[in-house]
Amino acid sequence: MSMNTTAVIAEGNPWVSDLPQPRPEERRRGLLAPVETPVGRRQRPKLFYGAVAVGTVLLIVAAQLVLSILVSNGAYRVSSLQAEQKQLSRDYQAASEAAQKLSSPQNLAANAAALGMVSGGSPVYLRLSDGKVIGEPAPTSTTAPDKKQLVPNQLLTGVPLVTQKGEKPSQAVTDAATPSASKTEASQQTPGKKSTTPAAKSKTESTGPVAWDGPLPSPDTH
Amino acid sequence: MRRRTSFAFVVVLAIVASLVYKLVDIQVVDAKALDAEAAAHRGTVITTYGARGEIVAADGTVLAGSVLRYDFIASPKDASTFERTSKSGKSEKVTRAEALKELAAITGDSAAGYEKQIKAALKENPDSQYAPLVKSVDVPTYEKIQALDIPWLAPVSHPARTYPDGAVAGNVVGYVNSDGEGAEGLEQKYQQCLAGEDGEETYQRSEDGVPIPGSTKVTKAAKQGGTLVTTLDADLTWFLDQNLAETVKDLGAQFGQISVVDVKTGEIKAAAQYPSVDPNNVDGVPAEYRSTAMLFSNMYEPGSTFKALSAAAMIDTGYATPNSHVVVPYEFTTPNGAKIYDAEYHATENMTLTGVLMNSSNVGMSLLGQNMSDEVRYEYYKKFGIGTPTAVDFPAEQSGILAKPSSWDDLTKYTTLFGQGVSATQAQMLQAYQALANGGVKVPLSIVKGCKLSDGTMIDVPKKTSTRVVKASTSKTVLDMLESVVQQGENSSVLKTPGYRIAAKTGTAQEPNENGVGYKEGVYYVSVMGVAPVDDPQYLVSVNIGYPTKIKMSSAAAPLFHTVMSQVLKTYRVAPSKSAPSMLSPYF
Repeated sequence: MSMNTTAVIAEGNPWVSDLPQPRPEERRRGLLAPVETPVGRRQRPKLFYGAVAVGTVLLIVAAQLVLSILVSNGAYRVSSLQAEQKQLSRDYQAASEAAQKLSSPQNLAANAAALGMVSGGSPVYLRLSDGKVIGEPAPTSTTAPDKKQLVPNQLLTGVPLVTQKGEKPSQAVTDAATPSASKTEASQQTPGKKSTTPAAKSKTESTGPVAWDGPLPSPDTH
Repeated sequence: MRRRTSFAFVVVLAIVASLVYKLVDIQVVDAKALDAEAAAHRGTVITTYGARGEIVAADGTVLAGSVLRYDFIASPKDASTFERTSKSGKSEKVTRAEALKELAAITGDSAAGYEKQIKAALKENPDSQYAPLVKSVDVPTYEKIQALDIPWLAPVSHPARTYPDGAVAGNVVGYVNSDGEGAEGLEQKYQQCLAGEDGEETYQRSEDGVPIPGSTKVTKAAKQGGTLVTTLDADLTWFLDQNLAETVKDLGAQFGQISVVDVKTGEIKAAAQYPSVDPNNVDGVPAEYRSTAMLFSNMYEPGSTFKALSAAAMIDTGYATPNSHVVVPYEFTTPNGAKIYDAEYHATENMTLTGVLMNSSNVGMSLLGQNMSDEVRYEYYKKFGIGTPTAVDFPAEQSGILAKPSSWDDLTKYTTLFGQGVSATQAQMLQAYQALANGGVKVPLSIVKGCKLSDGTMIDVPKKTSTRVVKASTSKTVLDMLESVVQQGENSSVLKTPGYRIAAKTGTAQEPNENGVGYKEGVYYVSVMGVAPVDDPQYLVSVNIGYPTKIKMSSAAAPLFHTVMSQVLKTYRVAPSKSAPSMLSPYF
């Protein structure tokens, strides 16, 4: 087939397109033919995608289930921790109230006097530049004046001095916080749930004075 | 065909638009209101407390703090025998009477009283669930009561105020009323800053009482009150309180006040008072001492301590020098015939102005000051702050009385020179001496540093605008003259503190009669004002003792002044003076 023949045909028949003529083998087969792929292979991916989709949905459902179990589990934990926090903040309040009360100047002065301490006289300074003593050193009286505490503080009613026998003052003011604490906590716990925090343990340990181990504290000099 | 498509499209669009509108309306516009409504229907509402702020000393010591206290409410309807697990783990039955007895043993009230309350509640209403048995107990007591495991007794917490240092600075700190609002002192003045605001939270509860996750909604956030930082020193105040109480008792006096001011900053470091109210137990002192600090509210005729201000005016205008001569008799008659005497009889003496101050001579002061312009003198008093309340603006603060010179009669013209016919509060005298000691520059007194809000910002910080009252040289000269009181005066053996140069002025004022004419017989107000160290004035101490009966002279307050001044110098580690005392000559 040459260009000429096409041109000739086109001249004679203007409706004929001047596209290139199909090759003979193409003509034999016709213009349309089925794609030669097996039917089975085209359906297999569909099943796979479906499985993935369904699997994902199942996974999401399962995850949601697990999450909501965890969340509601957490709710109990949150609630028990909140109850514990309440208890701890009560303990904190009791302890800081006691500390403030015991560190009031009235209490400190009364205890210092009971222990036989006396206040110092005029201060004397040593000037480092020339080693000169500034001020007049004088010994203070060695007998503690028997002074009554004249500045009232109602909070100190019933707080014993360190020299008095019986309960320690620190226990008198924080009294009872210890034995009932674990009880209150237990009643606030949800049935069937165990406390996951070691608060109950530390409570039983906190009775009595704390023993000091390690070196004695000393000032740092530079 | 095309028209139908576009019609359908428009319809769908309209539906979608209306749905979106409604969605936004519900989820955004009305969300809050609907949420609250829903929460109110289904949720549990709890109050979150916004605690009232603390009042602290300069070093952070808590002077007033907020705590939770617990009331226990019984439900009379259910108050019958119950079962509980005893300590040994056995189950035991407890009757109402037994339970009330246990409760009474803890609180110290009577079990019969509780029984009465429960019966009264039941009589009024057989279904009563409300009988408040126990009021305002602290945590240890709360724990003990909870341990009784009484099922018909429920705790309710409420905020309360506590004052750990009791009467120390109680007169300044003040206290709150039964509604928890400031009623006196700083509690009252700084109510706005201190007050907290309660918030509200709602949550949904599951069947077993546990909040459903994610259902907690803060409907109103709680606002914590600010912390009021004062300039006070609690330990020093206690020391002053204790020694003041001893001295007042020893002298058979009625009351007393001691204040300490930092000369350079005008900060009040201590304002002790006897009797001072213990805010934990307001009824513990007589009614007249319950309200407001006396340092601001108690007006008195300052007497001789006022002479330093008159002397400052004379020196500053060049009217007199420390060495101005005057021949001082015991008695002096004014041109109008009024008579002025010195406190004690003495032969006629040749004094300098220094000597007049040292001997605290009324006659000498009158003779020296009589030709000075009253107007000029009045202006100086005014500038020192006499007659106007201090910048502290304490609740119920008094302004004192300083009449205009035009209304001074012949006697007042003279008596004002030595502190009579004029009245002031201790705070005003402190302010005047502060200016005198601080090189002549007045720095307004203050008792708070500011109010620290929960976000850390400081508000209500006092303004410190300094004003010059007298020249720096005048300040130095007057202090040198006042040093003679400590070094050479009759109380010098008591007033001296080794190593330190101290300037002081004693005063014995009389208490005017209520009708304003004359003075009460035998009723005195003794005081000492002093500054140390003279070569670098740092602290100002004022000691006042009201109506002593055993010693009525200014020497009554001198030992206490010495004790206080030594303690102040010790507390603030003030270095001893480097220069020698001035030793101006009191006589010629």
